[in-house]
Amino acid sequence: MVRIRNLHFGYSRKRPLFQNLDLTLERGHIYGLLGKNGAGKSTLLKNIVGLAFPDGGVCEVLGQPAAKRLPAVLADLFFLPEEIYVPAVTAAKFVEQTAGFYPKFDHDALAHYLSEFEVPAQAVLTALSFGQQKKFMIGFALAANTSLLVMDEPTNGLDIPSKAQFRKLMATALTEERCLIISTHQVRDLESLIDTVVVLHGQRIVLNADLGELAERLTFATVPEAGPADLYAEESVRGAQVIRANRGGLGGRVDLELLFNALVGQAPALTAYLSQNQPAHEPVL
Amino acid sequence: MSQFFSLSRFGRLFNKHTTEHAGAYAMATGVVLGGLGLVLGFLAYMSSSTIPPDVQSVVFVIGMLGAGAFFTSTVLAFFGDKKQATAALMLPASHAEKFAVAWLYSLPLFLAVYVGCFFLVDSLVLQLSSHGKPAEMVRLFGGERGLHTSLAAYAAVNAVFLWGSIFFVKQQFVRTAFGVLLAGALLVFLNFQALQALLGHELGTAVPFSAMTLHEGKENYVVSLPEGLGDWFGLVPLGLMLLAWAAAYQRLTEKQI
Repeated sequence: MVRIRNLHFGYSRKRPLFQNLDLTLERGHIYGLLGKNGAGKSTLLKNIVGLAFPDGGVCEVLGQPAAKRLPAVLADLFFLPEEIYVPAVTAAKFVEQTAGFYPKFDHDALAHYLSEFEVPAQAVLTALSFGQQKKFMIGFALAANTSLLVMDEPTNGLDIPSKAQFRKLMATALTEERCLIISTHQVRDLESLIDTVVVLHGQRIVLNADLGELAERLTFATVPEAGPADLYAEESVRGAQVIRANRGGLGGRVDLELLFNALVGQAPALTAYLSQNQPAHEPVL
Repeated sequence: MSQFFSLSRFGRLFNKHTTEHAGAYAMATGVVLGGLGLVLGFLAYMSSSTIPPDVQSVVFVIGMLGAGAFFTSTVLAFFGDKKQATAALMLPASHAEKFAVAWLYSLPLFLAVYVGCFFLVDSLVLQLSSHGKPAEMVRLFGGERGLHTSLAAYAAVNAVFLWGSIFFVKQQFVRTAFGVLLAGALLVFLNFQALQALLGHELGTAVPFSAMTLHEGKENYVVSLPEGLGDWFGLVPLGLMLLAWAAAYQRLTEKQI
């Protein structure tokens, strides 16, 4: 679905954002792309959808170079940026004029999504609040039924009930044929939604792993005091939050925030542990 | 389906563009009608008889080049806004189709609307100011004062401002106009200096792609290409026009956010 090899990119030659970045994303997954502010999450997504061109390396989507922006590829790809643009037409008119560009567009599904989000179809889009506009565009993006759906910070601007609705709708939208990529710096928004976590840090992908596999290898706990066997620990008001090797083999819940903090901080023990028998995807860490 | 140009995709894109910009274009047409009405009405009021065809021609050409250059500067200007550019670039249509919609609106459709507006207002003003006497209206085609050559001049202006509308990310009209003036002045200056250095003579005038005049004592000489060959200079604006359109299209294909 998405194949990136040896990607080099930077807005300035002196300060490259990505160097030798490799990433493979497959159908049938919801990927959560995590990274600190300025790590290049949005830029990576722009490279994937063809809005930014690599300085070097390969960036292919659906078997075609993304930078070509071929209509056939764009018809099977939907990109929802963090800051959206809506024209001054009604939602119904927008759908009438735009849905035809997407061969697999599902009008019934759109009606369902808009009803769930409580977005009026006859409202002029520019007259809606930013949150309402975003919900409309999320509904449209899901209804477009494209094989690749890329969302950059989709929950920004959504109220708390809408975030829950968003997670529910995203989960129902995933099929074996689709690949969904969600970038965010709000890790909590992705919990119980994504099945694969991708962490971007230090100009490269430092983790691209299935959450189920991570849960089988790691346990996350809050303990009174961290021990020497812990792979990572950080202090909190309730004690020490730790990441440990999962010796029992039973998968628990992956604390994405703790894992992310460990990966972008100093956690050599965790790094070494995850590097052993890497379960899937990229050569990480 | 062709990945370069598909008529059905183009039609869909054209419809979408028209729907989303219909209000703004209707207002712009109103401004053109009002502006022409004001200028022609003022001229008719100030003249003792009806407006002469020569004056009508001047109003037609200045209005067309001015309004056309300004309008053309807006048709691809939204690519300067990240949000709008993202939506436009991600729409499943080819770059050629996206360029063609802008070209179609800024050249043939603009000309059709402008010419229609001009002759509508002109005929009304002539009728009202002639007081029953016959009044001569300027002709678009044919005759000594036919305006059709100015349509070709507009095509060249369109090409330059279309390029400017995507090359610059803001203030497209002002920046393109300034760039054109600067480039023109630089070309005239460098051409003059180069020719003077080559000939070792004091030159009178040396306009690029044209004849030049020399001073030899008290005599003035004109150096120009033999008759017939000079017509080839007509291809220069045509070449520049095609080059500017190609550059605007290329810029669109290379657009990044």
